[in-house]
Amino acid sequence: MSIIKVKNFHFSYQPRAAQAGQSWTLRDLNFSLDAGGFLGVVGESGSGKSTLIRNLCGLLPITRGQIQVAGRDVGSLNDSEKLDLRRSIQLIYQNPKRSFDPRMKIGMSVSQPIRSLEKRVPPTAELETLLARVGLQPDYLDRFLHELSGGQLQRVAIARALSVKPIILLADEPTSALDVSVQAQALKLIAELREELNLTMVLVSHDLAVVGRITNKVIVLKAGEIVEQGDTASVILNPQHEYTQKLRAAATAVSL
Amino acid sequence: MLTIRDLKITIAGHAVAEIETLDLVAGQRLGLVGESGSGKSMIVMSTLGLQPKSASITGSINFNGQELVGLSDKKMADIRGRLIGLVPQDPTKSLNPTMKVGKQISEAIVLHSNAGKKWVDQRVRELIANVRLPDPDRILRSYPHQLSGGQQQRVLIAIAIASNPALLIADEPTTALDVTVQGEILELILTLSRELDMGLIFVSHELGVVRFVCDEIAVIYGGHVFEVGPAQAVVNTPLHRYTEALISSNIAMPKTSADIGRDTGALQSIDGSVPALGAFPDGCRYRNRCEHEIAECAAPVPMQTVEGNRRHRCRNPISGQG
Repeated sequence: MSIIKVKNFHFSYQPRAAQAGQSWTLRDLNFSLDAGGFLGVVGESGSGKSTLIRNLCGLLPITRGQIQVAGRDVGSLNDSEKLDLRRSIQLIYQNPKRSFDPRMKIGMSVSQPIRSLEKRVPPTAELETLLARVGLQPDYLDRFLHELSGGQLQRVAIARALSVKPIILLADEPTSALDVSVQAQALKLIAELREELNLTMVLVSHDLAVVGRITNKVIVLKAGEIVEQGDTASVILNPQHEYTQKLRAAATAVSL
Repeated sequence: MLTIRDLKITIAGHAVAEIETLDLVAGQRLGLVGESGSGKSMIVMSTLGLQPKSASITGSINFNGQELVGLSDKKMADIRGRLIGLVPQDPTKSLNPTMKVGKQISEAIVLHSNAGKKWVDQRVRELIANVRLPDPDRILRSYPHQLSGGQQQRVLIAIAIASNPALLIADEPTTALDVTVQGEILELILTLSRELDMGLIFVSHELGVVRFVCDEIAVIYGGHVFEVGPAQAVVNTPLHRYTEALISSNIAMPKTSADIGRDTGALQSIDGSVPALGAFPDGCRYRNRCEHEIAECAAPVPMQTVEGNRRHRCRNPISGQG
């Protein structure tokens, strides 16, 4: 059963020009994702992959077409339904150093989604459990952003995203700002938590190898259009579209 | 061509880099591989005299007979750009946004020669052709924002090679670029270093990228060279435990359906994270994260030569090799 359904979806940052037939950032996207599925979105900069992720969680309006999440039309939600959507879809950003308030202690940062979406102040024990789940000691709650490494911060970002028990997790290049030696750590954690919590997940990445290793469906975006989609195994191992083949060749040349 | 001996770079009392021996032989392409905090950028920036003011440097960096450590700013400025070119990391932050590209390339030429305008204009076009930029008339009249990231990096490479330097330093030149563009820029750097007979020092955090370009690799961690050798040897038969872990934590392109999806157990990772400056352990700087630590690792680890230029600094190297 599809939990995300995208039908004839178009988006433009300049909707008027777009309706006249120009400057679509995303053009006529059609795909769906089953509950518990793991979708990889591959594309180069400017392909619209980050825009798509913001559309999926309702941070950007829909210009034309439809996005359905858990049976509801994201484009026509009332205020309380929007809150529900925010709870059921959480987002992990690319650069953890820019996705935390540097003046706030980590504990305060992690509690923000609960405070704003569940309108309550979580007890310390709850925050400690969240940190433990991503492999961090309780004393991290009292630290500030600059006292953590990139990899540790990304773990905190994952804990924060999980705090409101989402059913869908979106991750926008979650490992590309991290050191090579901790990228696999972060990726492994995300994949393990996804299985453990039976989350549906969308991973945006320019890295075909990363997407190939952990997802089970892939869409390839080029200049706002899907040029290829399918099972990860067939798209990565046997790409049909010339552009996917080019991406694969370029990534393979510098892969170990 | 470049000989580094007992180089020590210190910032605020902490050693950022301590390099006993590192050589670049003429015509060779040397890759420095390391994560953030490894000191790799600090080493090449010191070679260019571009280290931060707070850094103090002892030891020797000898470039074709000229000692670079302690050189006056004026003499360094003459060498930089003329004899040693630099390709920076982020092209979108390295060009002057208010100046046309053609003017920026000619500035680099004029800085180190007093040739006439006609010759300079001709040289600019030559450089544009060298870096394989199409439509020179349009490119030269463009401002940086009118060019793509890859085109901007080509312009910066043109600037770096403007004075026919003997040595080109490329500091993560493709990190900010898309993967398909990365391939083109790597090819270009490789081709130019051959065509123009330039030595190359290529800095990157990605072993695969460095292997693609270089014939010699030095693996750096916590300011220490951990392992040196021919590129294929370092990647295929690493000696140091850190190199081994770095290779196995690399997320390689899936080759068969067994590599695809689900199987998170197959992802290897290194525990912990790179310590902050000043928080590295004594002895081997990697030992607090290493699975193969033995008692001797706490004492200073000397560099050991296996054969020729194949060297490592590991007390418990990979079996059958050390």
